[in-house]
Amino acid sequence: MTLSILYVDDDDDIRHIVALSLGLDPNLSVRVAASGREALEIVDTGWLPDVAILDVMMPGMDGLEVLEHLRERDAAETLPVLFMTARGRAADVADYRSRGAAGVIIKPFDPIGLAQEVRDLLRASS
Amino acid sequence: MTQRERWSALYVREPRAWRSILIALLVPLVLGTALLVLQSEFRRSERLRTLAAASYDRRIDQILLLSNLKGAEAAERGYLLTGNPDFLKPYAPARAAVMRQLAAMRDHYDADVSRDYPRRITALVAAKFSELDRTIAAAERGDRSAAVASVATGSGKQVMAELRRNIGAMIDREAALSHDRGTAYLAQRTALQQATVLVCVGGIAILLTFLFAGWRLHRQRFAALVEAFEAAERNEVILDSTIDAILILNPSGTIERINAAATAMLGFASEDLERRDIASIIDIAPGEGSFHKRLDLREGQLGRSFLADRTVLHRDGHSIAVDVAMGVMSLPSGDHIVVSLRDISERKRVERVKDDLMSTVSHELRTPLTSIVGSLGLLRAGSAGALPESASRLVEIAENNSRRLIRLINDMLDIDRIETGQLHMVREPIDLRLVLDQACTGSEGLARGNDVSLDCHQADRPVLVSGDPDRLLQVITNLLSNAIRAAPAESTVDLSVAIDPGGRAVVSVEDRGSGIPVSFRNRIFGRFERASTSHHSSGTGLGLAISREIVSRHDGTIWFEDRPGGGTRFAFALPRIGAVAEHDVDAPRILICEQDDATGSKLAALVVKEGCAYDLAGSDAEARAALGRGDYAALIVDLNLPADGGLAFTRFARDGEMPFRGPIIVVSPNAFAEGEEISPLDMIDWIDKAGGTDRLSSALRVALQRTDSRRPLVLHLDDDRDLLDVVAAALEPEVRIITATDVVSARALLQTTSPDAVILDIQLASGSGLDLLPFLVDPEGLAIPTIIYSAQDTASEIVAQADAVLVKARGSIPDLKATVRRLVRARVAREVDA
Repeated sequence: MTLSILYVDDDDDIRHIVALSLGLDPNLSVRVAASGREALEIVDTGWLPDVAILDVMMPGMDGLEVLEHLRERDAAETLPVLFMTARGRAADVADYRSRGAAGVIIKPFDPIGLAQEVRDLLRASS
Repeated sequence: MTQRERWSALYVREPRAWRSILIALLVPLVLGTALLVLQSEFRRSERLRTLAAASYDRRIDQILLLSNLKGAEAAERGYLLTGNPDFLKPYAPARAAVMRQLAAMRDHYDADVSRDYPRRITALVAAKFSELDRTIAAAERGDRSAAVASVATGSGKQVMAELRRNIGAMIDREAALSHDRGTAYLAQRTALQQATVLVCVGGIAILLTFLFAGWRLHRQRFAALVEAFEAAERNEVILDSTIDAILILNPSGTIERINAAATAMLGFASEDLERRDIASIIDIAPGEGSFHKRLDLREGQLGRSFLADRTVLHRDGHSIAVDVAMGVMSLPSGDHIVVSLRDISERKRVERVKDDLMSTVSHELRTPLTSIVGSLGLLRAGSAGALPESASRLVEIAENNSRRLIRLINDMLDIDRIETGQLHMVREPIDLRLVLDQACTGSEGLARGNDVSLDCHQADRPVLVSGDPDRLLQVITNLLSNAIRAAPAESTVDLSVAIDPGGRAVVSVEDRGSGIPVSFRNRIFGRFERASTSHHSSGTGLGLAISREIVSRHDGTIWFEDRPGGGTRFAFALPRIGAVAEHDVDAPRILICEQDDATGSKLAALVVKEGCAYDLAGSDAEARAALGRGDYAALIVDLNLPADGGLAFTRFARDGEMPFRGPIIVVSPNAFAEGEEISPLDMIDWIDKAGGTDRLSSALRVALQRTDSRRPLVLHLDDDRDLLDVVAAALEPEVRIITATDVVSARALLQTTSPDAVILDIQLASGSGLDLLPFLVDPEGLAIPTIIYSAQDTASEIVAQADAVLVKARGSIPDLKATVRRLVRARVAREVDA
């Protein structure tokens, strides 16, 4: 089953690498956004991914705010959201989970195993 | 020497009033006695002298008497011979003198001479003067011949001769007396002089002794004053020049003295703060009771002498973060507390800055590294097309070194967390075999890259410990990484887990490398320490330091040794949970029917946590075979059990040839669905696999409770109320718990109840829990089973008095639970037999 993913990150390089990494799995389709605002616009156009992956630290609107805005939308109320962050302390991870994240991916990630990691996190959270 | 001992030694030398009073009484008494003796001797001497002088005087008197008598006789003879009346002139005075002398002699001699003598002399003198008077009268009448005839009779001469003889004898007697008394007097006087000299010398010696003692006392007092002054000055300067605020509190917690730094830190002048309660600026002794009790001050020792990260109130109302160090000053007036406050505001600011910096650096370094490692990984995976071999090698080098940089960042963050005490671990019952599997899988890539093969030797049964799986994985991965790098190409690295003779779980990693250089061995667990061999060059030098900390935080030990046949064996040992129940034939045994190893291990961990033993069955066939063999208290059944499914096995268990009547707990991948026909199977719970472990634990407790018709009573004596709650929560509802925090209340409970077992803490705040041992006898006179559950190792003679001894530690509750169950069951069995 093809899984659609919306990846949001302000870092052009990482956005590119994540898109390529997830693209290694033929059963994943990836759409990227460079900011939280852009991500919300995409969702508002009516395209809803199976899972959203949000970078936590982004200028303007950080990942946590994006999650809050997504939850305000009926369509995305139950959308599984994963966070991606370089701050991987246990306390941070617990905090993100308590705020509604289905899982947390720590940077730097393994590009080859990223797709599998996403699937594992989704399975664990379901 | 402790402060108290120093004070005790000083106290012994304190001046005693009775000594001074004794000396003040004795000295005048001795001197007075000596003076009285001397005075009496003086009187005796004077008497002797007087007696000698009297003898002398009497001798002179006798001589004069005789002389006067001779004078009177000479006057009578001269007149008689010449007829010249001038010769008679001395006669009357001589006669008068003789009469006076006789009168004096009578008075004087009465005392010490025979009374005969004066009478005899008086009579002789009277006779003599009668003869003389008669002769002179005849001559004066002119009757010369009558006068001559009177003399010629010779009676006068005879009287005179008699007088001479008597007086001469008296003179000789008095001379002898005078001589004897004089000699006695002289001897007495010499002795008296010597005694006087002796008394004077003694008196002078006493005086000198007192003068010397007074001088020495004065000198000592002066030296003590100088010493006290120097000490006071020194302390004053130290007190006022130290940068920590120091407050001295009296035994009731009132501030007696503060130093200059305290004034500077708190904004209070010393007179504003002195005589105020310390609690008005900082609460160093919370709770109820006296100040010393709140401080937990016993025998001059504080329960806690250091309080980290407290706040003290400045005069203007703002709070200052401080570390508090306290000491006890045992003074005669009571134990004073010295409180030293160190301002840690700056340190906390720096820590915050460092935390921010670490966080930022970590983020800022990781973000570009994410791009670098990601790009290199994708290149290597061929997502940009196949690379020439030379380029592929370069990409691999770049990727390896980028990963090394990531490890370094991670390790530095961990070291920082260890140093700041922020290395948090979440410990739970886990099967070490699962962690080993993960570590093996995770290290396969590295092993392949180093042309090393990895052998993972697993234990047959779950190896359960109380641990943080992520952190233990980190330790094993680190040991594997070191071993793979140390191993020569085409060699094998072995990873294994086993149980050591002491019952601990031991994880070992063995390589066949060149071993650890001798010079490096004592530094190997230090930070940034790396052996100078090329194999180790890619490590961060922090891994073993972090591993040691993690293992230590799991109450374990880590070590290394030479591997027989070459290479090194690194190992760490952790306390295992469930070891007691495993060897206890009476522990309730649970059959876990679960096909998935990981789930089976988790279920086993939960079962062990409840103090039970277990068997694992991975299939329907295994489960049926096990059920036929064992006597199980309960079954836990996975609905997906191959081959026929858990429900089929459950039906078999209930309706087979030997029906299982105990409770069955079903574990299902799905929540219970309406319509499932399970009621005839009498399952006590249906647990969703994704559900929490608490649900399964409580289901298991209910199941175990069902198997016990009577809930035994256990008395738990401990002064730690939190621990009492924890133990009660763990043991109930299998047993009923009654608790006591001191021996007195425990004895009171024993008077009204008879527990089936007693759990004792030895070290109580109010005394020793061992004091209860003599009272642990039931109404039948049998000893009540006793478990010593204490934080410290117990002496062997005490161990002999208890039925079991357990050390309080993380993860010891399951062992306690199993031990209680074993002892109670044994007791119940005895009662049944009886």
